[in-house]
Amino acid sequence: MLSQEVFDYLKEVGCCTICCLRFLKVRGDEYMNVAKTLQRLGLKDTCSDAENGEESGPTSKKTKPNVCVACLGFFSDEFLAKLTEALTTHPHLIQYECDEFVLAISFPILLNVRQLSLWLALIDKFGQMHGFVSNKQPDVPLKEVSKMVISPKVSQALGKKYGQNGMMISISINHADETAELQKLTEVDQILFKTNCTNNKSKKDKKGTVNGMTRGYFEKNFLPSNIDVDIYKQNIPVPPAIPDSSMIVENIAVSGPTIFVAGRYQKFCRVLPHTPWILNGKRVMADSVQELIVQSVAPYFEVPESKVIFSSSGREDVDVRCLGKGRPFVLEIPDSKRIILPQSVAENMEIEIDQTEKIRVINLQIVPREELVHIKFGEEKKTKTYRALCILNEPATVEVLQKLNIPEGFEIKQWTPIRVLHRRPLLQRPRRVHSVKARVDPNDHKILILDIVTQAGTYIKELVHGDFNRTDPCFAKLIGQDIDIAALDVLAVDLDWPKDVNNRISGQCETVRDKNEIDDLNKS
Amino acid sequence: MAALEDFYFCPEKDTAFGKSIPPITSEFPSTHRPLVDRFFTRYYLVRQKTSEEHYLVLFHSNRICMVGLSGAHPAFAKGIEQVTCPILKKTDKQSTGEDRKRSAILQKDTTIAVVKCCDGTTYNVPSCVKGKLVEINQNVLQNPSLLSKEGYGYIAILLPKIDECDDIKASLLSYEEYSGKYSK
Repeated sequence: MLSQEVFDYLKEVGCCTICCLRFLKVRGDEYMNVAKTLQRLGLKDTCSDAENGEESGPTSKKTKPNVCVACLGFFSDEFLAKLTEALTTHPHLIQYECDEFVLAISFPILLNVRQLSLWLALIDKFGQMHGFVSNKQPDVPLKEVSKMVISPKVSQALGKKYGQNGMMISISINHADETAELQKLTEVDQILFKTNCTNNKSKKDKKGTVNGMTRGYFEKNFLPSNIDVDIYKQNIPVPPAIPDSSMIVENIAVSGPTIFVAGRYQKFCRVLPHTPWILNGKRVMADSVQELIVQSVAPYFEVPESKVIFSSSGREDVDVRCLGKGRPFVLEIPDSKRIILPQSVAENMEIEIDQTEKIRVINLQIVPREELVHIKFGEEKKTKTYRALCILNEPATVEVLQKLNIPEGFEIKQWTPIRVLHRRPLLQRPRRVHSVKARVDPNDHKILILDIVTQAGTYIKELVHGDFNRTDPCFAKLIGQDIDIAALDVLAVDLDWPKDVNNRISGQCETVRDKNEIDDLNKS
Repeated sequence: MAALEDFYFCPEKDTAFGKSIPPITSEFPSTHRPLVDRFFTRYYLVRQKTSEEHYLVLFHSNRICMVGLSGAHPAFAKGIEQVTCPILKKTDKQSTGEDRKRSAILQKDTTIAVVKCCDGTTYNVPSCVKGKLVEINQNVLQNPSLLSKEGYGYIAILLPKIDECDDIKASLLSYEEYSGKYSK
């Protein structure tokens, strides 16, 4: 019964049952029920019957056990009760309407020192016999076990599940002896490494930047194989001494998950930029599509508007409308206080945005992060449908209209337009015009209405007039006469994302026409 | 035989906020101005060499400058045979284009092109504005007849510094000043 010997020894020097199991390399969910695990391993807690194992449900109070020398009482019922109380009474934590959480716990460096002392003690006591060697960590890290032990407790206390997409709870744990013991350790460090030339330099560098010990430095240099064990033992007790007090919860910080709210927007206004338009430090126009959406969505998630990141599948110019089914967009909302968006709330947001009468939003919904690939990638494969209002110098002829009805499409080469050349590099881009359908205004034959389907990224205004021969071919070239563009609408952005949801439950929902219906109408 | 009526546009009915969305045809601006007038301001440089040379700078609202000949330039009367661009040889191709940081900075009187007339006279076209060289118009080099077409006839595109724009404009003649002086 070799494990029993180690178990008994660890108990004797003052380890709690969980820490004993850690040094016996017990892993994973075996910590969920400590009594059962002890039974499975055939271990008997012979040292004292006061220890019932922290996980075995309600314990009868017997002689009070000492504070564990390894975890400094971290795994004790007493500490866990303190921690759960701190969590349940946390002033900010309750603000989050989020049913999942992740934990990040930071421990004092003191725990590393105690691990090293126990490590050295075990090598002395058992050595090779139990595989306690100077180049291999003797225990399952406290951090790993803490997740198994603490998470269910926190889950129970908060009534939330552990989940990677949940809110982040950062817990800083400290101990009353941390400062004093680290001071001691710094002294030992000077004795140990003053004589060791190879480590001298890196140590000095570290000292120069951080006043005292860092975890990284300790873990890198304080290894049984790397230090003069005798000097260490002279200064720091091996095995570690029983501490006077348990760990304390120093701080709990909470941050909400990042959530993504997607939808489609239509834009009816020709004096509305996509994002705030600031020229020489001054706003050119009061609103923007971005702000009109964010100001109605952000408050519900209790996030400042400035923290919300707006992105969309392309963008239109300030003077271009976006009709049809609208353009997909997504809002990235960090530190969100809520993770669900009920349809009734989404409806209210959509109705509030309607009040602006400049834009309309539909299909507002929370989407998982993975779905953002739809909006962020494959841009060059997407197609866009536009309607351009164009003007000729002379009334259109049948011949001109025939030349501009191009169902088979064509390829163009487009230099960066002059209107964006001040901020974009000069490049020639090949683009595909998939189709063009031309019609004439019955009341004014100089006015043409062109429905154009193109590859995303095509500059439409330049496709019409040619930007002084910098887009080739352009419509002007195809008809052999000047043609200019007076107004432009986006009719369709061919991205089927996010999925359709009808949030307009209470109010009557206006039908929104899609591209196919428009095509059908055009045929009639 | 197709008739124009076959191409008549009939707007779809579409609504938002309980109101119908105006069709694009109702959005036609009452005064539609040509492209150059919409986005550019005309500035002129007249310099006295062997004869009076007239140059046109189209200043875009985004501060991009398109530099070319004004219609009153004597080269047009003589007939233009060829346009060459010596700076394209002097500086490598990288001097314009993709890498804005490496593009050449031209002074107001840097020669950007040489216009050779049918009678053998040549004119050195100055850059007219101080700024980064963004582009040389290859179309005019191949087809000098474009020079006379406003906008299309630009020889070079330059990008002046933001804080130098006012000084540059002041150093040139405005349309009013130019047409007053030269009764174009």
